[in-house]
Amino acid sequence: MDTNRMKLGLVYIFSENDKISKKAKLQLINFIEHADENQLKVLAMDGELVPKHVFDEQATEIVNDRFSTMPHITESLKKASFKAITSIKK
Amino acid sequence: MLPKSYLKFIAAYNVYESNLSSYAKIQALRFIEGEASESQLKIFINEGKIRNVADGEIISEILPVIVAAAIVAAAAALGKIAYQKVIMNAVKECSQLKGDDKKRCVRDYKTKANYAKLTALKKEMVKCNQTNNVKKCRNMFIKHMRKIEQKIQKDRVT
Repeated sequence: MDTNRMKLGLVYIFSENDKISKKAKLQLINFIEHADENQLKVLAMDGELVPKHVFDEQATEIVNDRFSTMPHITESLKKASFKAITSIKK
Repeated sequence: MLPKSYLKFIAAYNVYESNLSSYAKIQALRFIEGEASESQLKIFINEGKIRNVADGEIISEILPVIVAAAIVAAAAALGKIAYQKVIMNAVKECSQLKGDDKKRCVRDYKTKANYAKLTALKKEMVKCNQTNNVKKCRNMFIKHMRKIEQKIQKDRVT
């Protein structure tokens, strides 16, 4: 799954969440916009905002391995990104 | 058959004692605590890797390693207790000193504590004779003990 699609999926999931305030949503969207693949994966798996510098080679490998064992997250992101695209078209 | 909670304990201890960076450790512990299945835990203990596995796959093959890892983890925990006991004495003794004397006192106690850890591990290594793969179990102990010996050497140099 490519980074842009993940970004789209995550933005859609957070923007649809009624429990998050508008300001918090803006902060999240801003984070997602500048995030790299590792940061997006951790956000999707753990709901955590992590700075880029914590990801060394070992942490990146473990994050990738964890992500690959969670196909349901990839599936949810794909669905969300698809919904985002179709809602834009409407 | 070992319960899942015990497998989690062994895996977590392996992560704690590993050379991984702190964030890599956090990620590995999240996997162990959260999403890992029993088979994935066994694979993780055996290979140190996170993999997708179907339940029931190659479990019998790796079981001796898990038993060995359990013995090493339990021994390491005992070693830790021995280490902490010596360090507690260090707190009492060294707190009265100042400057270089204090530094020397702490360093000496650290070395003593590491030796206590080593002794505890050596005692527990006998338990390897009860496993199916004695050599593998002993190697795991030796690997662990080498790390402690390296720490002792490092403390001597500084």
